[in-house]
Amino acid sequence: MQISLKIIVLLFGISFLLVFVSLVRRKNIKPFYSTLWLLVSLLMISLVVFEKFYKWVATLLGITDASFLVIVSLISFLLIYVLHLSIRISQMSDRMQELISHIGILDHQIRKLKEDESD
Amino acid sequence: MRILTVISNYNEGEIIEKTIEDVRKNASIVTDILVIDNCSTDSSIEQLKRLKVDYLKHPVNTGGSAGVIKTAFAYAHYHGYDIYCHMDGDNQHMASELDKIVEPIASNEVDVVTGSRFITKEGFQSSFARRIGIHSFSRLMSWVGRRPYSDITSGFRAYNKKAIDYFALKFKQEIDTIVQLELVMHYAGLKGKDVPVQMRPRETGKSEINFVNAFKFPFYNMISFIGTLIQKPK
Repeated sequence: MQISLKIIVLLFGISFLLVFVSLVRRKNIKPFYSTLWLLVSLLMISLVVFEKFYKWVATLLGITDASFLVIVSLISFLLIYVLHLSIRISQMSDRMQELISHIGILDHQIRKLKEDESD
Repeated sequence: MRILTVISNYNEGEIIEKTIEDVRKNASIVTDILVIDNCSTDSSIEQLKRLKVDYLKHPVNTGGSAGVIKTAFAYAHYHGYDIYCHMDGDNQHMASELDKIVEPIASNEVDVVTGSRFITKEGFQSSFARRIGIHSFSRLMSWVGRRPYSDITSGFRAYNKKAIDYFALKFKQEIDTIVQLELVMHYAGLKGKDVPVQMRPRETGKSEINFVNAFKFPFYNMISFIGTLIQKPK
């Protein structure tokens, strides 16, 4: 890896790390998700620090270009993650629909009871 | 037999009074009226209070009229209604035609009845672009459902207790489109039928059709249709 690229990747990884640590501290993200992103930023930093290790893994798998390995693993991580988010969103919208209906019914019922009281 | 007529309302403040008066005066059946408000941002709620009509308000918007239908099922089940009739708040559906959609259910012929404008082709027939969309989805649904569907997006429907219980107790998922609702009912083994009715043209308010929606609606319907085909709910 070129030295300029190394610096860029390193800076990117560190800023990623800082952003997600602060997000978790301010309780903007659930710990589960932040841990996931923490791992991603650590992986980024390790690309620079353990460059030789990744090259070794790549040759072991018969891949001559180490960057290809990085790209493939990143894309597969993102795909799995997006799939996970789709599942979560589907669950949440189903639950939301149930809640909206039931809050509506309860709100209506309370209004009725109050009207009966005041009559 | 207890019948509930639900009028769905989303920002129909200008026309909702006419719709309610129509049901109060011209309804051809004995029915309770409930307006379900999908969290309108206009003066609808003040209108409903002034008209002293029974209303239920969603705490947030569900992003589609199918959400109102799900609430209506839950409400009808909660209060033990035998039949639930649905009308749109824009006064396009006629209260004098309510008996036509209730009759096949009262006689235990089918579980769900849809009022269709396109059987006898009388009254308001909708715009050309919209008709193409409705017809193609109706053909598609007729092919999957093995019975003639003619006005698949019609909101003028009646459901019996079997349908109410199914959606209130068993089917706990969000429904995105009316076309999807039709498919879910087919898979649930609910028998359906279309009956000819007349509808009025829209008087006020803006139609949902604009440049973006003209592409969005068919696309969105197709996606949810294919997804439901794959899912095949039990």
